Amino acid sequence: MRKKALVKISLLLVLVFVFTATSFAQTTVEYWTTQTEQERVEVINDLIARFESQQDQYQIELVTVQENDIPTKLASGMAAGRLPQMIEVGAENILNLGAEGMLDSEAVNDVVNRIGEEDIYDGALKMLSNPAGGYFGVPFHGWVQGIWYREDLFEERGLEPPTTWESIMTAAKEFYKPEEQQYGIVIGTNKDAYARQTFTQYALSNNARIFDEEGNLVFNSPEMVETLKFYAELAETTPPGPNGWRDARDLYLAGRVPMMMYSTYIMDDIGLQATDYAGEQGAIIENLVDKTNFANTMKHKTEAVFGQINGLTFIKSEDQEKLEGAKTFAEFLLTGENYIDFLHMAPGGMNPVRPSIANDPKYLEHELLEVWGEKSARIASGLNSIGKFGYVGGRVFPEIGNITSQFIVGQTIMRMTERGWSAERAAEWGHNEMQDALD
Amino acid sequence: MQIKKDQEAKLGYWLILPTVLSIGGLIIYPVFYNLWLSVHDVNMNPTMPNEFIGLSHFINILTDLDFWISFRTSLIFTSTTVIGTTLLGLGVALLLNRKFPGRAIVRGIILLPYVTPVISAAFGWKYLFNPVFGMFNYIMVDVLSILPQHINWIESPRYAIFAVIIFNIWRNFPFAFLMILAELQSISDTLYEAAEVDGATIWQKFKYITLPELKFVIGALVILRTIWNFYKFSEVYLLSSSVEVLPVYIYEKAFSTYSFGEAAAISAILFVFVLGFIMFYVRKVLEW
Repeated sequence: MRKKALVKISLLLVLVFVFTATSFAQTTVEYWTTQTEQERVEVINDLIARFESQQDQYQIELVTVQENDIPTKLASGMAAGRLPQMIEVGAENILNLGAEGMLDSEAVNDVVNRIGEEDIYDGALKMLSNPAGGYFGVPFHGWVQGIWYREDLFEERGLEPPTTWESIMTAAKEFYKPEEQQYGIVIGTNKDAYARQTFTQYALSNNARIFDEEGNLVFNSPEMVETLKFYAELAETTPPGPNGWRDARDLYLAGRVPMMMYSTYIMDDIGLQATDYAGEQGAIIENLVDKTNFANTMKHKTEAVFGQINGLTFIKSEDQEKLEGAKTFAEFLLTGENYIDFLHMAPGGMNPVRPSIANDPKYLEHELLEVWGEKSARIASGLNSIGKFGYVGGRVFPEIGNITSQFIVGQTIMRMTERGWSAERAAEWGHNEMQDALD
Repeated sequence: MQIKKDQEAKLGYWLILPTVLSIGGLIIYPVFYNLWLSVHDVNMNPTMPNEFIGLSHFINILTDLDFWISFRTSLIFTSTTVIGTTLLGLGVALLLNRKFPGRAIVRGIILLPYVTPVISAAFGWKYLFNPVFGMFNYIMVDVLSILPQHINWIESPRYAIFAVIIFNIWRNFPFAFLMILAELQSISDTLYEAAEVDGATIWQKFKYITLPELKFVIGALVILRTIWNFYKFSEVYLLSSSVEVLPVYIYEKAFSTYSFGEAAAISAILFVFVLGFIMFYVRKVLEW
């Protein structure tokens, strides 16, 4: 009797050991994403489940982080020695990490090659390139920014589309009626990333840069001062106080402003009513999608398009097993139906960086993209010609990450709009702050 | 006898050991680690060494105008909120110390701001003071015409401090109310009856009976609220990032400019300041 019991127990122990061993044998890969909305997290979780069901070597642990919190979270992660294997963030953050020597450029190049360099837009690759050769991040998806405006109201008053500085200012002043809580435009005037993003387009269209081609800081150049002056004047037609992206979205959907600057992510909010798409509720204006047009190119001294490429990148790690898992998962996310499902979580907002996917009928077959019709194709086309502060004449300046993480551009703007500083004084202040940030 | 005493002492040490260890690990170690950080140039990369730089962080901070502006903001924020929460708590406690129907319900409702999660309260206030849709602007400008135009109360650096102060008083006065009310209920009625016999007015009764009885609870409330609000981060930062009180200043130093050493040095300066204040207050005001 006793022997039998002993055999049973040891058999049980062996089984327990085998089970725990197999579950321990799985490698866990930590993946940080800036997609924090619940619906988007659900899509990513579905993709993770699909990935895990296709192989049993790797497990993915998803962590969501707000875009504005990325510098903070990375700093504390770094200090605690607990960094993820793979993160999905904007190009500046990637360049910043790359410049700090924290990224595994080799792993990135591997994934780019596995997907095929020729099947990724050059414009997107350029945004993530490593000055020393190769890349700091795998391009994942991108958005284009511009002025979304009420074509119906513009036509009613015989106004030009807001594509030049003059036409923007004329329209903004025409519509500004604060006593009726009607305002001209929403642009960023707060200490955040949104202010830098909206400002960049004005600066680039005026040939104003943060760095010149030799990498010298030129934030106090006459072009930049001129841009700041124009921006501050335009900001007089905005709703009271510092404004952020939330004001832009809420006030446009509520019909309080006829123009606002936003990325392509607004497409699902505006197109909401015309589809059965179960996104956020909010639009008050009837058929807003038909009344809205998008000016993504701004003309002044030159033409400027602004946008963002989000990439996947890998943190340097001793653990090759985990790194391999992250690479496998990155490739999975960028492939075929997985990639299309990912992009469809913010239809129109997230644009593919692979031409083969952009032209895939399966990708285009989405209610919301169909509602926008030919406009959506034109919107995505801007992705290839994005200009940014960190890129001058084919050179990349990863140092820009130090400046963006402190929101110095937004603070400079705020000094004019909230404290009444002159453009010259604000530019000088911003220049000095940037110098400090770079030292 | 001596041996027995030694043994008892030994046992005593063993008994307090867990407390000593936990206080050491959770309070003393962080304080010294913070001081150590404050004299180093802290490197973000854990594999790189930190460089000893002596007192230069302290010199940088004390000569930095931004620090003194934040310091002033913190002093304004702390003094107004301490006075505001205590006075409002005292007033409400005096009113609710009388008997009236539904008193228990009203007392419960008064506590709501204090028990509401800070994040939902902050968002509620953000919409209340929204520059375009907010109820506050609507009433002040469109209905009563007291103000000429809509104002962004929450985000504008000029006005945000008021919003943050009012928000903090609204949120924290119930704590003062609760403590004072408990003390009020322990004051014996016979004192008031005796005063009435002597012909004391309401004000005299308040001044010579209620206030002296409340002295220690109010004193304790003021010191606690001062310590809490001088280091208040969440209620300020969640409502408006435009109000740079010292904790927000430290946060930005540490995390958006990655100057951990400097941030630690600011904490050390604050520590000394608050410690000095407490010692002065306890000796001179509370006379303990």
